[in-house]
Amino acid sequence: MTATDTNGSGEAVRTFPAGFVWGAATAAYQIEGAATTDGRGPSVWDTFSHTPGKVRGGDTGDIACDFYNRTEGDLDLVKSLGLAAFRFSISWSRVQPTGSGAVNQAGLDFYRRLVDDLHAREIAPAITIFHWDLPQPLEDAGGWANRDTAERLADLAQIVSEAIGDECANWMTINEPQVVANQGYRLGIHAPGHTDDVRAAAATHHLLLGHGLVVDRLRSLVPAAKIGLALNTNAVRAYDSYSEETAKVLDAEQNRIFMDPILHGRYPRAARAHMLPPSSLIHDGDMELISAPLDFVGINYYSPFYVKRAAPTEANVQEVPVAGRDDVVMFMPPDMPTTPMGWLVEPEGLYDILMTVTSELRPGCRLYITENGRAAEDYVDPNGVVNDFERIEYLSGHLDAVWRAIRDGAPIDGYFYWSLMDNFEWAWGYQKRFGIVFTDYGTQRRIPKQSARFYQQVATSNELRTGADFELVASTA
Amino acid sequence: MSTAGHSSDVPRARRFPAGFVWGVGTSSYQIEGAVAADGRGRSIWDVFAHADGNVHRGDTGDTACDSYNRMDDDVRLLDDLGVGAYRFSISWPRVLPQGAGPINQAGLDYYRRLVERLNQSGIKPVATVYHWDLPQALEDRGGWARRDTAERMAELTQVLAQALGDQVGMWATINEPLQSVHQGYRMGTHAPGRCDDEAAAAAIHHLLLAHGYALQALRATVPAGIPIGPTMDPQPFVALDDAAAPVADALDALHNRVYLDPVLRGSYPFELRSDMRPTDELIKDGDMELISAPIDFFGVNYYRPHYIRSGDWSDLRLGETPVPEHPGFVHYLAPDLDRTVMGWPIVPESLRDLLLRLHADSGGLPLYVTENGCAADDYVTPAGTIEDHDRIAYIHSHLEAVLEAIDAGVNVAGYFCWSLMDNFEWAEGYRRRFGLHYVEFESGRRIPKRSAHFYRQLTRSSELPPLVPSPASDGVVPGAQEAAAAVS
Repeated sequence: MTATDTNGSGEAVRTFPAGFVWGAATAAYQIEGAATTDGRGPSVWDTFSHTPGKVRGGDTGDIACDFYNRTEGDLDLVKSLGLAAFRFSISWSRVQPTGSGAVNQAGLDFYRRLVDDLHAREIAPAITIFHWDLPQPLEDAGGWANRDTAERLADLAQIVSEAIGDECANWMTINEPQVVANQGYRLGIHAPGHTDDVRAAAATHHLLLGHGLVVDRLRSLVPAAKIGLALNTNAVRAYDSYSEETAKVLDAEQNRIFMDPILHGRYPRAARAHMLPPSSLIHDGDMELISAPLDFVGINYYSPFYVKRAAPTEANVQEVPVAGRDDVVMFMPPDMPTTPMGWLVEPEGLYDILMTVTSELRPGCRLYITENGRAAEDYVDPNGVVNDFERIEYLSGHLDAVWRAIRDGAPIDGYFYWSLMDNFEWAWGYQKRFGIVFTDYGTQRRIPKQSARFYQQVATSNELRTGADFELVASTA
Repeated sequence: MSTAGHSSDVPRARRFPAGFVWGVGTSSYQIEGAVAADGRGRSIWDVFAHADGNVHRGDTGDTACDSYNRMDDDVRLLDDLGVGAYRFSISWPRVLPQGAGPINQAGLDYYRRLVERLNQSGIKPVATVYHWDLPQALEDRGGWARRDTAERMAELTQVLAQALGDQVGMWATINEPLQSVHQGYRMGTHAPGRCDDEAAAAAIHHLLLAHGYALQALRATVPAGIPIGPTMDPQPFVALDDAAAPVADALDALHNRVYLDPVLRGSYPFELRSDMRPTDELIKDGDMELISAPIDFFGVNYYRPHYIRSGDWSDLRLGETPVPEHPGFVHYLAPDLDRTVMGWPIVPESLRDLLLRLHADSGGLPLYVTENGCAADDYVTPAGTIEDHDRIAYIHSHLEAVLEAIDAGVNVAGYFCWSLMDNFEWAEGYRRRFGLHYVEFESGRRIPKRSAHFYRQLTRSSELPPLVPSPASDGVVPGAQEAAAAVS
């Protein structure tokens, strides 16, 4: 770790460790399109997005960024931005159209070629085995509420690793399982759209089990691989002392419910009982599998959660009750910036998460930031420029938090910005733009935003300069 | 909405009166671009937009929709929409680059060509003389705080009346003087960016005087029967409790009646607070007669209401912001109110009430809704469509409100949707899209949104169809088939 320098103008230069990995992240359903091409089967997200009223504007991932047909151009773009790694996920139903059994060779070949194309450009692949697009036939058989789905995921991992295992260093088993269980099975706002606490609790365990089975399978098939997963995290803050106990419950149900089994082999006691899988689902050996040592833990971080005592005088529809309490609510502190997602911006939350996880890691386990980014109201101006200064500010603040965490002992090896390009943002459709590259969906043109230029500077110099105005380039043409 | 007499629960289309004018609106600085072309001078908006920190993301109107170079495109869009009228504004510094003195013939010719093209296409040109882009040369001499500016506008109007008077079908003198005064001279959030109540009070009178002069100049030149009037944006202030009623009245005087009363009654409202009242020295003999000379219509720009209630400034609730200079009272937007991306609450009934009020205040003058519409988070989908169902719902609900006003006896003669296309939305830059057409600002390409197809149905049928719930991806919304066809 190189110490920070201050060059006398108030500008701090944050130098990252040698070899620090700068990357960008994506996920299959959000970018690939080609939903019925070359034998791909339907996933729960195909079904969900085609159901009226589920996705804003009726958007679907049928076309998305058409990455399936534009791979080479997009990887050239990654290369041109100076990035050393590209995170993508496997569309399960492209490889196994029904989720089990026969392999669709064309689908498997797509990922094989993708990895080759990355290597040809000296970009390191970072593969996520499961990023939410469960094959519909597996959902029809019970989905993640069904223990068998975890076994099927291990089979998928085997198929994929046998095809490309030697060539890929970084594997993530599952992405943000908490969102799948909560949004997908409890709240019904993501695929598969269930509102069922029992199924959600079962899904929680089976997602974790799927992770454990995949780790086990990959260890035997690709012993040299670095294996981890990507967990979504939110720093949970109590705005007043009254709410501290509730904040602990929320932290348990939001973060620890997946982090504790992975890191410590147990479910958090602070979570309410109905959020946790019943003991009948937890078979002997499950928790050992789930907590098997990892090479790294991936942290997805976007925003903190604030909770406070509810104002007794007035109901407020934006202050959502927390953890079953009617006297403690989610809270948006005034004057704290938010994004168009309605998410608070607080880089210190990322620092806190990184330090907390660091204190709980097994020796030798590393960290990556596998997702971090923000939506902004982006548009191409008449000069062809997307002047997304909000995103540059977000990046700068959060990279500063990463740098400080490294300085203070966090074993962080890399950072993946979410996302390479605007894409299908789940229930928000194409409305919310997270990319450092603007996707003009009508023409599929990619237009690097100003934040891409900023990130390129960081990645190529391995330095973050804070306090300095980023000099905007006149045109991206 | 009165549905009495309907024999079933099936919603039916409702017809607008014969002769009801369907239009769309734009303004010069928001669409033209070409700010240095053919001798155009600088306006206060050129200067304001180019100064750091004034406009979102540093956007300027330098290029905008490039309408100066794309007249054919724009007329084609209007043709496709089937509108009977197009409201645009004259860029003063394009015609008189220094605000006064020599005419820039090339600039004037642009508008001459535009109105001829519109008439050839059977679209009535509706020209706004002043829509905010004051020549910087006049601002340098005091802007609207100076009487001279109003006199210069009289000259501008004479030039326009002589050059275009045989072609323009309807004239609007000034647009939203409230915003020029409030944002331009008090808050500093619009050009010229001044925060000076004394200058603002003077600007009130001189903008109204400019209306009076423009009216006089037009009357002297243009053929009889061509309607002339102002377009204003009276802001509905709704008191939510009894104690707030006087505050709502004070705000109504400050922001609305200060413009309405002089035009409709020839006097400033008694209730207007003294520091914002134009001083007696500013008001010359004959001014109020000029200002209150008969008009042929009143143009109403409506977007949203404001709610006022009692509230504790030291313990504000969500949705509350203090009403400046009225301690104990707050603006309130209930958190569950539907809003547009501008943050503006969507309350069509408020348009109905406003039309009823103006009908009474104006003694039954023909009213036009000269602006109404909404910004939305529009984007082109991979299928090439823009699925702006929220805009369709906004327009639909506000047209229902217009029908209610008509049913109640108000003479609403037409409706101009704001806007023909996405454009430079003042301090919001290109972020906020109000158009029926999506503009790809880099290429200048215009793409009809779903709402454009909906609006075309309206202009063709002059009937408001029942609104089918949306969004949907299976084509059950109005205009779906046309939208799909437009992609290929």
